[in-house]
Amino acid sequence: MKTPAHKAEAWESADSTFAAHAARRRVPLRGTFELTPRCNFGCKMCYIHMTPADIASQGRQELTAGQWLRVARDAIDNGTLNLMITGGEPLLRDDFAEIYTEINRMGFIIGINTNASLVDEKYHRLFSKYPPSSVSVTLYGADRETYHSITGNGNHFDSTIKGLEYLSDLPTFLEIKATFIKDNKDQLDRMRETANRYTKRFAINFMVFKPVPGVVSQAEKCRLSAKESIDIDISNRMYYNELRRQNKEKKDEADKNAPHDEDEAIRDSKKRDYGLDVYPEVLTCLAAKSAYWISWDGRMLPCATFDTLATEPLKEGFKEAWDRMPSLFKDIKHPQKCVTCEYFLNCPNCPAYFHVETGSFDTVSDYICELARERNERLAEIRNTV
Amino acid sequence: MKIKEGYLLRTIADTNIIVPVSERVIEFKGMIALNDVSAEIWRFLETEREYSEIVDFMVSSYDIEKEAAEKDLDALLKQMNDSGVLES
Ligand code: SF4
Repeated sequence: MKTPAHKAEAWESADSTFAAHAARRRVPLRGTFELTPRCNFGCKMCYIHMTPADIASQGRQELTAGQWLRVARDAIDNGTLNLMITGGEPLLRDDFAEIYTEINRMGFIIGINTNASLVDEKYHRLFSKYPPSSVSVTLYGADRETYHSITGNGNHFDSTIKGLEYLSDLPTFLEIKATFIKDNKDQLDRMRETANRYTKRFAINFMVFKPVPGVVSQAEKCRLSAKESIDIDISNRMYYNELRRQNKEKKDEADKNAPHDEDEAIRDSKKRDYGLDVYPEVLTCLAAKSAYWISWDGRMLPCATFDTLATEPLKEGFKEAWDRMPSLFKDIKHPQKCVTCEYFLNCPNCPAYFHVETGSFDTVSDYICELARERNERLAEIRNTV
Repeated sequence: MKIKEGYLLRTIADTNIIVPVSERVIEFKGMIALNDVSAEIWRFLETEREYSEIVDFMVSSYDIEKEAAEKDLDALLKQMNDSGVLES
């Protein structure tokens, strides 16, 4: 029988082309609601987390439950289908259940990003009754010591594991994403083992950016060098390659979970299939084409990283805010150095990343450039030796 | 027959899509996209209907022969039954 988890997977694969179809019609298909910038973890590299004092000092306020529901109704009216609920830690809101239950009735396909640590009996009951289609959990380490060093408290490891036990029991598609910094850089295998106790769907992230305005973090001190990042990336690829080799009969599953290399021709056709060639082309993803982000204080952004370019759906109207968004990019261009670079199509050279790293949309960030070069060169080396 | 409570027909980017809400997420067995005619029949089926009533509706709305209407309807009802969206 097909479970909702299988169904979410089907949505996911059908989704890319539907997102492109939506982008060509300028429909805001995918939304993210950042319910709060607060978090019960204090991760030292977090680019987005704010304390109540940080929020107060900025004179900004989190949207109320009523305001979120209004934005949600507008999102439905304007064609949003996939809704990601995120934070900070979204489950930290006292009124999470109220917002979630109501949003759940509206007709979205819902995903939740969480650190899992607050998932208890009460949330398990809520999600058993109204399961989200998918939940994505960030994992920071494989033991209490690492959680202590990254999140500020070793007990967070125990509560994360407890939360994962609850989540893996739901009819929901569960993904675990491991984020790597210096503190846990030697834990890839152990983190993957920990994750695999709850789900086969394991992903890694080693890109850690400087914080958005108003947030303080130690990102620059604790993030990995390009070499360290790509060591982890390649090691994870090797693991899945080996898995594929050993388990020929399980090939399909391993294929699905492993990161893929693509050659340029495929990437070019994907660009069209995925709607990446739609204006504003300077964005090499679907942000502002068929995707948007509503920040905790109610601004509409193309994504979390574009914190400085925003429209105001609660003031000007949702449709107006969405329609106006592409115009924010009219003066932004790729740096000349990128346009002529051989790695242009295989580099996370997003203007938002450049902006958080350098303060300017069109200045190349050394961090990103080194990562892209290291990755391309190392993968080419591997291809040449195989 | 009738569509169960808890399924919404949404038209997004010129595409008709069935979305399960609340408890229905647990039992929904796959994504359904409907063409415009099927979407009309879906709306018609949001109220309790007899098979013959739906065929009459199709014949009068789309100016087609009864046999053609029944063939199309059977295919659609099979898809709906497989997806578990019809009240039994
Ligand atoms: S590798 Fe460097 S120069 Fe090349 S596209 Fe990426 S950021 Fe630009």
